[in-house]
Amino acid sequence: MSSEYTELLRNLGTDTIAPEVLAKLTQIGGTTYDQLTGLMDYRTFSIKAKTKLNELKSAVIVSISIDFLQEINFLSGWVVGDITLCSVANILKNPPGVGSFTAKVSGGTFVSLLNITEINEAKQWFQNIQTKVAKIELPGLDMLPDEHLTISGGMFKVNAEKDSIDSVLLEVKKRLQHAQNSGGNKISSTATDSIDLAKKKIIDNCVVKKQNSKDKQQVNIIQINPHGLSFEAIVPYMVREQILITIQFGENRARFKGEIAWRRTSNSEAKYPFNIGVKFNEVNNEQKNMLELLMA
Amino acid sequence: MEYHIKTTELGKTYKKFFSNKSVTALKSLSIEVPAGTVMGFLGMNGAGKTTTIKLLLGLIKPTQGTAELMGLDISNNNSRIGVSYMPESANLNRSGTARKLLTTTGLLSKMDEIEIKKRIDEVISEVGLEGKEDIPFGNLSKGMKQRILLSQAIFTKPKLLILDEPFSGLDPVKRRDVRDLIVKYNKKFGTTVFFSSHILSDVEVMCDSISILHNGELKAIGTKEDLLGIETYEVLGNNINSNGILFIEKMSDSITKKGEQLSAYINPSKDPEKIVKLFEKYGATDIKLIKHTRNLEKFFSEVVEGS
Repeated sequence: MSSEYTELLRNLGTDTIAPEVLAKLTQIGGTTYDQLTGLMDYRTFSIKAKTKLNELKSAVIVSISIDFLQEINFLSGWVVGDITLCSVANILKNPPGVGSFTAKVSGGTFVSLLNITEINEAKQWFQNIQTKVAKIELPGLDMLPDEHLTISGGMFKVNAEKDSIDSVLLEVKKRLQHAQNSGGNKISSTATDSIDLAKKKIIDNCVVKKQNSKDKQQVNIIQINPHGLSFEAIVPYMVREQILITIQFGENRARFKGEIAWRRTSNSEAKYPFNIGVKFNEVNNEQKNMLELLMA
Repeated sequence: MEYHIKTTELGKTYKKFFSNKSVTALKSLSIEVPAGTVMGFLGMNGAGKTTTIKLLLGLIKPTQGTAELMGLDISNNNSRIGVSYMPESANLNRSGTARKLLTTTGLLSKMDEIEIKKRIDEVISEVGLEGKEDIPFGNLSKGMKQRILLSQAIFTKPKLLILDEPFSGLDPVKRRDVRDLIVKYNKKFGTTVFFSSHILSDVEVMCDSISILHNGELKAIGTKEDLLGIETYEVLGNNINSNGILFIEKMSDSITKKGEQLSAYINPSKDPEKIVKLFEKYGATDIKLIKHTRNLEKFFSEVVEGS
């Protein structure tokens, strides 16, 4: 923060602020930095991000938070907490992509604007950061649940023509909270655990096939979450029956193996009288990506 | 997957005498009961529960669909080998006794006399009727007669036990004992249990899976956890160290502490194993993970009233 800016602020008095004083303050106070980490602060970030997005049209915003910073401060002292903050800030200060930048938000939270187009690239960057953060060695970190420092993140791919920076930052915050609330040490590209696909109608095709059978049936997915899904069907499937589900979403296609967990009859006269719940057997990385795409 | 009961679009329509009117008691019922599991068959009075049981046992004939017991079509008498049934109520001969009834059951099952005598002592003790085996049925209470019917059903250690309202007429203590006995047979001998009831608290405690019948139509079927959904996980343990409590509190939705015991509650979107590991890491003893499902009564009302 410049000394001219703070000087002006201190001498404002209690009277009405003249418009020219306000304009001057806006001009010189535009760039402010976090004193501890040396990174720009949240205010500067939002101003800079607005300008940058007009130029880039598309980018990924990632918010990263240190898990258990408060507990580190409490158990190991403020100095260890400050060193932790600075160490993580150093890892985050040069994000990938030309013109990308990082800011310190508050407490142990940072936000980065990445000049990249693929959300997977952002995820990879987060994983690299995770690895580096885990290697930070400080007294008392072995007390943490994972016995090393961990971070959580939330990310959002911005379309500058559609999204305002304020709405994006709010969305990123929700996704970060979702990652933290679901156990931490992970990044989330969604803000919920389960989404209602019946209303969204985004799936192009979903086919269910019984294992060891050639019979296939087109079904409507109602809800999906990382552990399973529910769908509407014309015929009932037996509970505990093994099935194969193929989902087509734009150019993406994924197959899931699962087991029928429950069945409910909504209305026997309806076109799709049965609502059926499926638990996925195992989800590999490719399938995980598909689920995240559907839920994002 | 081996199913001990499997029905496909099973239905029963009764025709009224001297009129062209008919009543459909059961419509296109498709259910499956995996071997070794306990399924509660729920429904209000007149839902079609007893009709289904009678169809499975060949006491009445279906007007639609098929059914299998132990992998064999119900039209085949062999499908009932290894199957026992306890009716909701039976007109027991007033002068008959438990010993006579069980001896007949043993003889019909081709057991020898020594085995029958030994087994009578065992089951009479299991149902808590010691000393009542030679008292005429006419002098026994409704609850005692109900337990005698159960002793007859478990007498041959069946593979599949079909029980129609096994808890009716029992006081709360006896209901708990009967419940425990049924669960014991399932756990100890791998007996598959299929029972109808409208006492939801018993069903909630005993069952692996639930099916709900309403107006002759199956409205829901599935494992208890999957159908009701897990509402909360509770991880509990004793003697956890104070630093651990700090982290567990942060990673849980709430915690409670009673004496040395700490309980952490987390919503189902979180991985409960992670919290269990934290309990281990911070030195807890006697760690348990409890899955609290949604209330069955609420779910039952939702299914029945929703339709």
